[in-house]
Amino acid sequence: MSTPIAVIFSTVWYVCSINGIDAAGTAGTNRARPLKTLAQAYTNASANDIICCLSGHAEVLTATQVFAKSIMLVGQGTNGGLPAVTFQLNAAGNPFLFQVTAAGCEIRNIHFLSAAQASSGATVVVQSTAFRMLECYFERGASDTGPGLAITNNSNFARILDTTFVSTASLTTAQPESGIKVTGTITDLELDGVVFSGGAAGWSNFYAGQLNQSITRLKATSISQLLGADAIVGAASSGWWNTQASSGGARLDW
Amino acid sequence: MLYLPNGAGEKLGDTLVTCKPLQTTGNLWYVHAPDGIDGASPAGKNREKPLLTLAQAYANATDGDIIVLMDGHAETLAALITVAKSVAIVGGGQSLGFPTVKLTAAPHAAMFLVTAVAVELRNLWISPSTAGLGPARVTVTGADFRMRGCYVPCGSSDLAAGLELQAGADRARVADTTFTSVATATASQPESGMKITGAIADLELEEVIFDGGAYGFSNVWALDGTPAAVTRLRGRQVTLKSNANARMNAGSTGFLDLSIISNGPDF
Repeated sequence: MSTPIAVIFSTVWYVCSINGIDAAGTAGTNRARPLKTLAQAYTNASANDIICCLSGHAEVLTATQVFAKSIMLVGQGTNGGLPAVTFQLNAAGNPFLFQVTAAGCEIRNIHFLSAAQASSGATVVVQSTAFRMLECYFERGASDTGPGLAITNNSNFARILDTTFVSTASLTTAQPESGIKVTGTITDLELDGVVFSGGAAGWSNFYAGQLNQSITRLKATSISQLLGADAIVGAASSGWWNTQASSGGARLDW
Repeated sequence: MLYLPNGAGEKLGDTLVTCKPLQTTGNLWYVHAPDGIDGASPAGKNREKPLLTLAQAYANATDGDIIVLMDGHAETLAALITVAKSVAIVGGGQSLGFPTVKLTAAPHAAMFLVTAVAVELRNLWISPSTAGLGPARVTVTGADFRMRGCYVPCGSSDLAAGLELQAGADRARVADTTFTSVATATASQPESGMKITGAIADLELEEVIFDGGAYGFSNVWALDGTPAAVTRLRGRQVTLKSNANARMNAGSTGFLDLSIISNGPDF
């Protein structure tokens, strides 16, 4: 006999754009009565809480969602092998979609859609330590003139697992910028099971994985570089890059 | 930069030594008993001329290196190895889902004391102690420790945990690893599988199995997190089998997702 259960030591806040209703206080802790927006859940949550977006939740943000508390954001469900929870940015002025400033934040099983209007801001920017991203999917289209995930200076101990960055551009004249971009000196970056795909038209930056900064202890294991998705690692970096699959002349510059 | 078009050359086992190509800024040190020959660096860099012992490989290695224990390597350590360099110790090979590299601690000695940051143990069979052992077989005080794909049977001589995380072991991650009691009588149970004795943050357990076997653990808790709180515990697909109990300190935050439990474990 087996019985799956979850033992939760933190408060869980439920969000669903389909039938949720926003309210302050303890609203949203009942799965049958979820909140409507991530912003409300974030407001209600405390550090180390869990925000669970129910399967089918789809939200378009018109301003950056800042994570200044250590929050785990998790999407529930899959649809056709992709996360069933979607977020998209629709704003002018090149803002970020998510800005992570607290240590220990985690984002799981979220499908990030291409921005609704041209934006050079990263979809997710990490500006703190011990960030975790698992099982996410980044669609990068012509409007995405910034990176999908940007890891900034001193954002040490980041770990990206089983996450895909794919160019969905149809023209080489309208490519997305890059999948992951490291923009400063960091330590202990772990990539495991990460997939970069150039799709039909590739990346404008040239590198789908632009890690040409100094990274101490880069541990990139089981990486897939598909359809010509190139990557670059800064010459002063230490660690390893272990390729599981590659196609279309993909290369690693180190 | 070391470029290995054929990877580390192993056919089965951990992806780090089976995927190809592999590029690394460190060195690879190969170990295989009984046909290896110990020697100071650069001995051990050639897969066709491996070292005999892990201790020699560790002595030759520097921060960032990978020690490849080749498929079938079996070794009883001469003494505790204090891992004070940031190295990855990786076993090649796999048989019936288990690592084929077997390490045994010296009698009355622990196996590893991990003090450096970012040390990794991958795809190792960490055999039960052969004589009464007070400290844990693997004790970790360094941050960013990784244990992946290991098998940790716990026997009657294991008077402490298989793996103990002490203060300083923040951001540890234990994945695809099994702790199982192989005791043959309730009078000779091992103490526990895994124990957390210092307050730590960001502990990840992923697809970790605790198995009480036929006679369980003397501590009652196969996963004993009672001594100290964990901030942001992330336990995914943790299995408690055959009365393997688990307990966490009440001050902990996070979650423990018990995917399979059987035979009445307690939490």
